[in-house]
Amino acid sequence: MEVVLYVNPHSATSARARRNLEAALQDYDPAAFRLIVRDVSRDVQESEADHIVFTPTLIVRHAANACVLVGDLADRATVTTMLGLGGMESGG
Amino acid sequence: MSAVEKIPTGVPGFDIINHGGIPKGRSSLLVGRSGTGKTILGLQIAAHTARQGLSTLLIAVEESADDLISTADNLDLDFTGLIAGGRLRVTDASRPIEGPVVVSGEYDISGLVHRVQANVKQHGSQVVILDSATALFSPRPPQELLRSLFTQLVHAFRRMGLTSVILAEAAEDYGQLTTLGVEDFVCDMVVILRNVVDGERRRRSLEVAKYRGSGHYKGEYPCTITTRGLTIFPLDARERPGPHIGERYSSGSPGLDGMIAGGLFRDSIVIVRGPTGSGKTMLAGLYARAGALRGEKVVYYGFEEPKPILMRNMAAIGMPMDELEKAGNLHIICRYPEAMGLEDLLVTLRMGLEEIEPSLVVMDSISSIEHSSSEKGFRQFMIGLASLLREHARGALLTQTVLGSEAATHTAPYLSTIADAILALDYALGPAELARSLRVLKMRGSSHVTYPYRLEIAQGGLQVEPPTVRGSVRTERAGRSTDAGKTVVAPGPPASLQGIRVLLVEDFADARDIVTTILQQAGAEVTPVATVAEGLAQVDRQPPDVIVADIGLPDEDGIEFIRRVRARPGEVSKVPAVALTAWGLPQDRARARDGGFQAHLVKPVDPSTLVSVLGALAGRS
Repeated sequence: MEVVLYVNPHSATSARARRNLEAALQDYDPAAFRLIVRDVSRDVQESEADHIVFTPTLIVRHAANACVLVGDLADRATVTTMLGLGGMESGG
Repeated sequence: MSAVEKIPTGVPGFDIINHGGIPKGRSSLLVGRSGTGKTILGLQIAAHTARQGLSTLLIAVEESADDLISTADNLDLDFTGLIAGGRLRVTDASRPIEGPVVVSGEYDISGLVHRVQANVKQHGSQVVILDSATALFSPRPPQELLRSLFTQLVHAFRRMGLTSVILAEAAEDYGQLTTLGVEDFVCDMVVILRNVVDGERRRRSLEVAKYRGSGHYKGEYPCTITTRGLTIFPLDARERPGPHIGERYSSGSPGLDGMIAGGLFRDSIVIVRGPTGSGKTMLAGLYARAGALRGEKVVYYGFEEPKPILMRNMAAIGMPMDELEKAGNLHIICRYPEAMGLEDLLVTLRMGLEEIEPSLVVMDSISSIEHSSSEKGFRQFMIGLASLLREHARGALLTQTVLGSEAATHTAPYLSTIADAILALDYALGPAELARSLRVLKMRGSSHVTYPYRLEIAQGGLQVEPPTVRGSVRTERAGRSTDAGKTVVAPGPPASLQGIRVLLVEDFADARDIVTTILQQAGAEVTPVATVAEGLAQVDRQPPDVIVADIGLPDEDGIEFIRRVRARPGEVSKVPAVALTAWGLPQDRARARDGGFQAHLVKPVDPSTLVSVLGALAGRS
């Protein structure tokens, strides 16, 4: 399971998204996923490959499945749903 | 002159409408419903800027990058080659992954901005094409956020010094500009593409709705999409003066040439109007043949009959076309306009002009086009056609079928504007056969005879003669009783000569008195003189409105007299003149015409004809 968050390092919205994601991931077994935070100003190749337009953008990948969440991840229920779609189960 | 620095797009016709290209370092918006050709226009611009050496970045959102490259390659834009050459890059911003995309909460557009910035840094990108804003902002954010995101993007492009072209979807052809409703406010140029059903036909058009800081042509311009991309047909194409100003060439009919002061102007557009059977196709054939026989390249578009039938009919009246076609001077192309769209026809014509490079174009008839389209569609076609011909500086003869009574009247204003010369053919039903006539309604920049000439279909084409007949055969046809061998004059339209100054040069006293009386009874102010010397003195003393001169005169002949009048400086040299003579053979008429007479009447003349001919000549411009 790969959880990739694309952020704009100069944006408060991106910083908030990162905090919201990390808080949401507290409910999951750390061994079940790998969190990668990418900076769109530096990780251009990766953001090209993932067709990133907006930040923050969260991509949850599991095997052949993937889902995308654009926004500040303030809505915990939506984040949980996305992680569930990616195949993760809450440990709490 | 525009203060805005511009980048040419290379799209045929587009840079004429937008006065030189898209604004450099600014954003341009291409708007249209699905299927209007936005993407094609965007791809053409991208290919052109890349070919011009401007590093170009295309952002694919609506379709994948691979699909866009394939589309462009199919349009012969050679994206693959341009990408391999490093002048063009296509970056994919289409929906990233097959799977759900959920939008929740706040976000910004810095992901894309940084990708573009990286291209600017690494590849020196100067032009960016975004296809499209509509797809980029899907799902659609709330209006305020959408406005903010779009503005961020445009400002980022501008900050990076990029010339950008942004495509956007419209919900309808005429109404709110874009479905998002925010793009046009921040773009310097807005172009609307339309594809509307007009009657039973589709009609494509392009309009520059806004161009901040620059002039542009207003209104809708017809356009079309072909395998080579989008082509726009500007109404007001820049006219190329060329080297032909004032140069004349034969219409193919010496009689007609005589009516229009020696021939048609090079690069002029002539419309020949008349009812079915009035001789339009023959006149078109004469025109085409004369051009080809002079060694020019002529393209003849026949829209009313298949080529074998056209060739057979022309050969049957002594105007064979096959040898001229074999020699490569004449190209005969027969098509049915009903079978193709008008825009496609315009493209075919453009390709013909570019590939064959004819100096003369014939279209017989534009009525076939008129009948297969709506009024608006036909108007746009004609305007597009005229702009094509002007752009390529080509002469053209177009025939138009109208009811007899309409031939000399009722010309649609746009047709009248397009045509440099309008000829009206007509016929009257006589007891034995048709009495055909040809009238010059208009001849821009030239004097011309304004009363109708007789027109006969003869071996070798049409014969155009002044309204004078000689001999019993023609008299019988005209339905007038006279002795064989005597000369009579066909009746002309009635006219008043009230206040018109006529100089009469006639050496025979009786004839001078009779003609003076006829003209005075019609209201003319007549100055009768007997010699060339007296005539010239009177011309210099008080230029008349019309001259009537005998040919055989005691000191010098009437031809020499007119030559001298024509050689004088100023307006007096243009005074219309009628030869009134006992000599009525074709060579006499030709000699008089060559000498500078506009009309030729044979004695004894019918008073009403003399009056109407003089009235017509005096009333002309």
